[in-house]
Amino acid sequence: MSGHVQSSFHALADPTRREIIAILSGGEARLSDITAKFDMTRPAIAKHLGVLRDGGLIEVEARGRERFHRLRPGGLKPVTDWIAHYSRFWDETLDALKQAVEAEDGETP
Amino acid sequence: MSDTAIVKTIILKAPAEKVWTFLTVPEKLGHWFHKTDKPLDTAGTEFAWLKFDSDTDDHKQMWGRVLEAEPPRRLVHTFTHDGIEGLETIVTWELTPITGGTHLKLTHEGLDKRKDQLGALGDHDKGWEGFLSHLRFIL
Repeated sequence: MSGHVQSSFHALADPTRREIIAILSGGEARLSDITAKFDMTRPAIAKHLGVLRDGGLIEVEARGRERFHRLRPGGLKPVTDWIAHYSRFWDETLDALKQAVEAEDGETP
Repeated sequence: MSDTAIVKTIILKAPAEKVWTFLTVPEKLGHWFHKTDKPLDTAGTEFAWLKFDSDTDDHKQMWGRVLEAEPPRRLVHTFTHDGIEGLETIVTWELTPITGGTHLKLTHEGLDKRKDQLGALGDHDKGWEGFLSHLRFIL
């Protein structure tokens, strides 16, 4: 699994960050808008936003003196790709099982 | 419940009893996947799949816990590794004897757990609903 996928999952692994994703699914928001919805300090929320950015799930745009956070289009794609990857993983693994089982000169119970 | 599970079926030209050993005996697991540090034939067993270059349990590739073991028909175990952040996914193996062999069905339900985790987002979260629809489409 790529580092990118791992950081996406890491970003989604925390309930506060999932809630931030939910908030941003309603539209872009500033740090102060997001902080107002939590019982947490501004630096704590800023840290969560940093993890979400590192995971490629959100992006930030500076307009004038303000910074707006929003969902990054396609940001969840590494996660969905990962599931397709898992499906292929099982196809290959089951092929290996079939070969191993049928190759062995077997005693029939 | 399992709308996002991965389900695979395969026909094996071997009796269910023999297939069962390949799913539960450490050495035989090593023939097609990864050797484990313990047999998987007893519910409650915590075990690890070992890395290829090691035979000590200090070198875990993946790990799990046996939830159900009904030889030679049904094996359920958890499946976890670092790449999925310790998330406990569930793998079910169902063996059905057929003429000349065994019908084997694999179900991997890790995705449902993730959905449950993310379900805490609430119903208003259209973005997440879209994501889950996408998952169902892929699978």
